[in-house]
Amino acid sequence: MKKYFLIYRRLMIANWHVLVSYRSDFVTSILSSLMFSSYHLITVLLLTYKVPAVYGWTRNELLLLASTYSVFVGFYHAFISRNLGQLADEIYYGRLDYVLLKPIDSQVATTMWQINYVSLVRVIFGLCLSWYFINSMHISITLGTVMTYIVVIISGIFILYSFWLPFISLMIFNPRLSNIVMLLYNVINIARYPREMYARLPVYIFAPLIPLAIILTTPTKILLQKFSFFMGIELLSVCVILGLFARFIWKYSLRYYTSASS
Amino acid sequence: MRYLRMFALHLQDVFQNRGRAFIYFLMGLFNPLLFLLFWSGAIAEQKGDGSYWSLGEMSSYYLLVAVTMSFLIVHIDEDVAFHDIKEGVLSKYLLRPFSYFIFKFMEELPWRLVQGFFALLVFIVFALFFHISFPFVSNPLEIGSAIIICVLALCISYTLKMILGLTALWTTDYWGTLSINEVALLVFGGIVMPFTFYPDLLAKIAYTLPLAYIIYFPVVALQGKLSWVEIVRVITTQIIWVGLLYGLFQIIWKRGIKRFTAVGQ
Repeated sequence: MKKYFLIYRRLMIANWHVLVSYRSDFVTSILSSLMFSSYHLITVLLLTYKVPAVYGWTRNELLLLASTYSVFVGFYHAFISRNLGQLADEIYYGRLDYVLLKPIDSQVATTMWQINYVSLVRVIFGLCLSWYFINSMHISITLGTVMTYIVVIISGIFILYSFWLPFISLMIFNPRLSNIVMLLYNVINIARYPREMYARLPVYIFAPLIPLAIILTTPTKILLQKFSFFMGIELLSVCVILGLFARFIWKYSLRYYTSASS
Repeated sequence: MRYLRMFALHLQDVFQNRGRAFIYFLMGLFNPLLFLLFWSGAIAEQKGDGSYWSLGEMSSYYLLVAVTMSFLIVHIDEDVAFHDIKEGVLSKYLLRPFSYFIFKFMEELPWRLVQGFFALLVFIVFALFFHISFPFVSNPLEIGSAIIICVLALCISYTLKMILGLTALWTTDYWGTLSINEVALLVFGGIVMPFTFYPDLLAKIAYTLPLAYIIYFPVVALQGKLSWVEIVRVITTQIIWVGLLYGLFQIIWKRGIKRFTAVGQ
């Protein structure tokens, strides 16, 4: 385990050097991150312009959900999504061999290599907005609330990671579908809305969406002090089951990887 | 004839990559369906000021948004900026005896047709399985004018995206422009919701920009919500936008290629 921490520390430093080497990219990436963060807020503002409450969520609560989305997605894009996008490319171009030859766990080597520090701008943006909406709703936040919020956000990131990984692993069977990563970026949008919204759908559509529907609703309910013990158990169960499933699919798919141009 | 052959070659390419085309189509379907689900709850609960559209009207709006997005939202800008300009591939087009503008159009058109076809299938499936009565244009003259509005919307979309793509000749990196454009299209194109529900000021800004003429007006025209006066106004405005944007494209193209260094920016 110590070896992995040391490697990750090295990777963090290396990724920082990459960031400061490409300054114009740095500026446009910050602009891009802020644009997308504000887009989610604008969307909710527009949707709730004539709808004061929906699915049991008031306008301010929906805006808090949108802010939590910024925090969550900022972390996810900073530490996870770019790696999975890169993995899709490695499979498409048949370059996965180089990664698999490294003397560390293949899943770590393929999905934890790059860090996109710029996305942390979205985290800051989201935290500032969350703070604003929490104050405007006069909610008191304790240290316990903050700690639970952090744990649940980390669990949510792990759930989303475990949701993405099987799809990208299956690309080994059809490498041409490398644009599935772009679809997965759109799939995250499901998390932007309250889970109660999906309960209207038939159960065979709703059930597969549960992992995505809970990853943001749960931390937001912590801030709103509507969090229940059952919600925590549900989140952790999904986290463990999906994590094991993703690991299984990854290992299974790797057995069929046939290297470059084959 | 040569452009037709280019179209045929690119069509083969799209069919070869039909799986990718389907995934691209699914990407466009996601947001409208989520917005529709949101509105279905709002309409069912009726907690607002009661001025919503009916569920049928909303369903047809968002499904038509998904169809028109697949047909009319062009993505050639990414190809122009990242592939042709940043990687320097543009030089090979400069040496060939045909128009870059038309060549790229022939490259993009098959993608629009195939993705639009997928979207139409989904629209039909929804109509048949969910038994929602969609308001849809029925008068032959209105159908004709809706088709003209859609064709002109494609022209605006294509020319605008070509201009945006060419800005990479100055900026090299395109991510910033791309994200601004995507957000602007979602908000001012009418993808989030019909402009009827926008705050007045925002609606006025949206009506002034060309983005509304790419998505919103084709959708409401297909729904049969435009009067004859509005149809004429929309078509006239679209023609003006096509002219203005094409003129701008020519200026940017002539100035831009002087900056191009052929080995990648």
